[in-house]
Amino acid sequence: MSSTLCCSFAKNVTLRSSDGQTFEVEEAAAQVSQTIKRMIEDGCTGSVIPVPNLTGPVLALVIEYFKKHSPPSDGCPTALLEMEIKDWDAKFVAVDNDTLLDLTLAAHYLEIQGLLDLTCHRVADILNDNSVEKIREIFHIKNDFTPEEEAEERSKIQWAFE
Amino acid sequence: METSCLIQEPQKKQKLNEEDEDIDGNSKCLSDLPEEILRHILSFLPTKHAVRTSVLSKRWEYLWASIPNLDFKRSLPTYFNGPIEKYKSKRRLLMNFVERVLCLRDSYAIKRFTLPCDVLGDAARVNTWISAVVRHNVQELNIYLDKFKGEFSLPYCLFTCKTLTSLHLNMPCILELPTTIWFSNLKNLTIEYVTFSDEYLTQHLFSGLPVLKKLSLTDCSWGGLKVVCISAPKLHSLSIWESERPDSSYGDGCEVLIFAVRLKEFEYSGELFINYCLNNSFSLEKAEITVFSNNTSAQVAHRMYKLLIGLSNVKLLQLSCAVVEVLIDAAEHLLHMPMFNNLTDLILYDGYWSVALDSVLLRILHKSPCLETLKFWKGIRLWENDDWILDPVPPCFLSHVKWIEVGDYDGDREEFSAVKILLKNAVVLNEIVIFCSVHLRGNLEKQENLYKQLIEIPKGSRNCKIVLK
Repeated sequence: MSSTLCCSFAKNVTLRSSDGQTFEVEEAAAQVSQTIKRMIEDGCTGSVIPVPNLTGPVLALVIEYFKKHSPPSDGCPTALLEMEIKDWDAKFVAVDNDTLLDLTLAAHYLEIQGLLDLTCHRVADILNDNSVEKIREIFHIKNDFTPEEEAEERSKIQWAFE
Repeated sequence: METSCLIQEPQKKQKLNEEDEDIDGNSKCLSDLPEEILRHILSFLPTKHAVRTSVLSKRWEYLWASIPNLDFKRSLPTYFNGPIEKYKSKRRLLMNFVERVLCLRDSYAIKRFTLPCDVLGDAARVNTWISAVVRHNVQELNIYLDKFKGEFSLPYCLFTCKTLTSLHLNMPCILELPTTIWFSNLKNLTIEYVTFSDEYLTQHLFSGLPVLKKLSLTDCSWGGLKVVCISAPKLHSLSIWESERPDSSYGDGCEVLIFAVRLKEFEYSGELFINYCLNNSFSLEKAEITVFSNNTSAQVAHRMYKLLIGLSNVKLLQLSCAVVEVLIDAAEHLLHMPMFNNLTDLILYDGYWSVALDSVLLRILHKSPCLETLKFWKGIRLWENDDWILDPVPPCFLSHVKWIEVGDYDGDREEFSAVKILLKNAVVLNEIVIFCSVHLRGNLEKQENLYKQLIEIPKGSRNCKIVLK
């Protein structure tokens, strides 16, 4: 944004979570979220920006992500930096499953495509590595098929279980 | 993704809050995420695993039906030797599964479709699937078909598919072509084990590729065709591999003319059963020619010359050692060796023996005035200890050759003689790097002796560095 480029000091915005916690973050970093970016462009920066879908702890995590992924001040990211970010990302999503789902939703609401890809990929990896029964257990999915229905479902896609 | 603004869209906000309540319990359920996210998660899974999620719960039953990529992996190894019943039942499972997946497919586009399948008597069924995939605006299509019973032809709609950007066809049969062929968006085309049978239609195929960038032809048979023109104005990279001699009932007479003005990379590997000619490839940067056998003949040598003529603009040329051997058999063509005015890097690699510093190589060097780097990965030898061999000295040795690499060095007399000749005549050489053969690895004493021998060679270039590795 031109307004951020012409300022010599970093401009901050304040974000408020659903449970009333406030966080100050650099405007450029917060714009990693398309939703927040649009709000800033629309002039919503005067007061606090409410983020009603995220609780304090989740918003705190998202802000960590913002900081790591804010565009570097000196132009293009180097290959080394990209690798470092990749490593950081991998550690960032190595969280418990509830937090992982919270982050996924947060990325969706705030339109952070990079974070959404990251968390969805992580969920997919868990789905990939576990049996149907185990997946239900991990992600608290209630099996609402009767045993007969489930057997029929399985028979229709037998190839996938080969 | 749908755009939303947390303040200015109260309706949306309210909806999100409702969903929030759902997940705010103690343990969160994956199924409660919006469908859009669940679909996104499934898009990261291999087809098989995405489909498996349909038994998780009713919510998941049909979610997978919109995954962008449908890759059906071969359920049987290519050569299955088990009982026929097992083969049949496995094949049936795959066929039923593909059918189910395509029937349940909603309006979502298919990005990639990969199908390995033994066709047997089910040509019509396979064709229906491919048509369905084309209707779903497929972008990348990979089909590996085998074991045909009777004639087989792909659905004609495939040949005018506007969304297709990448096509991989692997099918050991005659490719029946329609009269209308126009791949308006196709960038990558790979054709394997196909026999082309109709000259006019084959011609059509290879002129209906307006934006094609990469073309690979592997073990294709040109049947009884006489001339085929491949003309692709945007073609960037062309690879032709031929490991098997085409069916003997077909003649060897076909001539493939390649018109690709933007071609940058060309690779050929095979025995030159037929003629390949590049025309107007002015922007060629890299070419790699590999022949294996020493089964040389005047005819093969003649084809090799024709091929080399088309490569005359190349900057980096990589030749297998056998290429040089092939050319020896047509001494009468030596005089017609093209000029390689742009050639800066020449690599001779991959052969049973080191390349001989003989008349053919000398001819290539003479025709490459700007050559800077010369690499003999399999080594180099000079059969006679004669100084006449580089007389007259190729012009590039007097002004351009800065770097020479010699691989597989044993230090025997012939190799030493060749290095001696190179060092004596390359008067602007900066460095020669010599790699010891496996026999010498670890034998430090021998290496030291060889090095002493090497540094005593009289050098044409005073500042030349000699490195033995």
